[in-house]
Amino acid sequence: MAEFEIVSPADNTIFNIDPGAAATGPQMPVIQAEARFNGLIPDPTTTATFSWLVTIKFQCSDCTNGRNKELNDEFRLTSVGGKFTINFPRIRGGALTISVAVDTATKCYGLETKGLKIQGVNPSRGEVNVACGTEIVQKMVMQESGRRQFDAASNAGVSDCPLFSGDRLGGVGLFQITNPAPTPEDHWDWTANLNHGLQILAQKRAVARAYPARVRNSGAFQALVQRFNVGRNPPAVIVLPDFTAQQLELDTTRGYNGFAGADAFGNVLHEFRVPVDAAGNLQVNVGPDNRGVIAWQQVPAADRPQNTGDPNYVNNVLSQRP
Amino acid sequence: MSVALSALCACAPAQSARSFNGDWNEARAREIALDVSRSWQLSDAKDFHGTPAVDLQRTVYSVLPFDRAGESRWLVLLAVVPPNQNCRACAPVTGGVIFNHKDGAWNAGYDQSHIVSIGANGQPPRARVQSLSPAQPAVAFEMASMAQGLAATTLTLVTEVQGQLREVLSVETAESNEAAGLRDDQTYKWQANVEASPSSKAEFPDLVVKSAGTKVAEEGQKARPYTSTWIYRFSGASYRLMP
Repeated sequence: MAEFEIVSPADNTIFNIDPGAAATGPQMPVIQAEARFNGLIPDPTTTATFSWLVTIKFQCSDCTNGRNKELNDEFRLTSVGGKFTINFPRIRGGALTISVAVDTATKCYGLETKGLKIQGVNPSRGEVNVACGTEIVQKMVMQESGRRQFDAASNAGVSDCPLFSGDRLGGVGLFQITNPAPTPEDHWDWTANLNHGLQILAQKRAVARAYPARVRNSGAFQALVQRFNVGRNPPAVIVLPDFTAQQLELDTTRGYNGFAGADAFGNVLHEFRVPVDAAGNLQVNVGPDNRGVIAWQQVPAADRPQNTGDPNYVNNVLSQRP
Repeated sequence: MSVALSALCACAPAQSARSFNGDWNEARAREIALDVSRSWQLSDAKDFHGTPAVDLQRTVYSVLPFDRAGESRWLVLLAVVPPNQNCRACAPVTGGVIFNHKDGAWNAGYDQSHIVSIGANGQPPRARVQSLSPAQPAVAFEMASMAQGLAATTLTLVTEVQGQLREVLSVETAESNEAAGLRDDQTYKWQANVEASPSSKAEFPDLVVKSAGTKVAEEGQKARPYTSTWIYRFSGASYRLMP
């Protein structure tokens, strides 16, 4: 029998991150670590100071389509006596090593575990949908990842790896966080991933909300209106309205994939555009009050750049069944 | 009955389920490659993110000349994916069948069920041939994609190493955040070329990646001019960045 040994956890034990609920978030396993002396008199097991080092190492490129990036974590604690409850301060997965050292009056002892690992477990459909809140966000999560934080089946599938995007852009998790670059939490904590996605969506919503005014205030749009009014006396009052709530939602969704392409006014191409005919003339109906309100036109997928992003992203999102 | 079958077989001695006689016939090669792919063992967990590997959809998406040192060959690339595996993160498995020409017949002499898992929305990347040297043809998989306004293209080179098709290099060759809707001064774009070093005569020459454009050091910072030159050297299994 070894003079000093780690009793628990046994080598090669696999621990899981409990996906928890939308309200609680995921929970790291609580590990009871125990080391002891054998055959020493007096036995220092209950009285000595044990120094513990807990290390988690994870290399993204060990997973399918993961980039060359390490996500490592470690923390130290001491205990009097050989029993120690490990409460992880952060949600992390990967190869786990628990090292323990004890200085006695006569000798310095040190050991570490081998082959431990912490895996991720995909959250349930119900909890993800609760955390998403709105139906459109639920559908986006389906479109982005098939409702998977980890590279396993949705609804309780277990994996060593977060789900990395097959395009190798480094996107990860439920919301495939890509830009800005995902944080370590985005990799292992599905609620953090979701919240980060919601933050990005809020930024895209601001961009979408500001777009009608950008067009209205552009010289190119004003020139378009002037051309429309050539020969009209008095000139028609042309109104380019803000997006409706539904249009705003769809344009925000578009922004989550990307506003790829250019509109006719020097801006990025949004989900909706100002309708013009083949000759580039404004299309708007003027009423008896000499007022014309432009109806925003959804840009067909065929009119979007075909070599970047998903030209049909919004419709693909809408077709999902969360 | 057995006599009749024997007679039938004797009429076409070089023809089998994996070969055909005469000139190169892409349609026939596609059929054979699809047949070959039905024997591939793909796993739910490893290949398809836990989605059951049943009712797999198989599509030939590229047929490439893959000559090596004067030997005529073709590489047929197939995308294999379960139904409804179409999320943005979802890539099909790319497998391949190599046809070589021997004794007047084209033979599916080599096949590999899993070459790469690259793609988006269940669709594979574009593929073309980019020979590393006359003796070392390679497939260049080019994946252009976008997420949250970040557009990027990744080039992945696959070539034969120790008798297997292996990924030897994967580098980004373009990146832009133009579609993110940021301010002009935070918007950047760069591109890169990947070329074999002209001074390198080896079977696996050094690869030089030259990038130019603009870039930001960190999210939210101003874009600045950016150039870089990286050299990758073959290490026996893959290309590694030289310090």
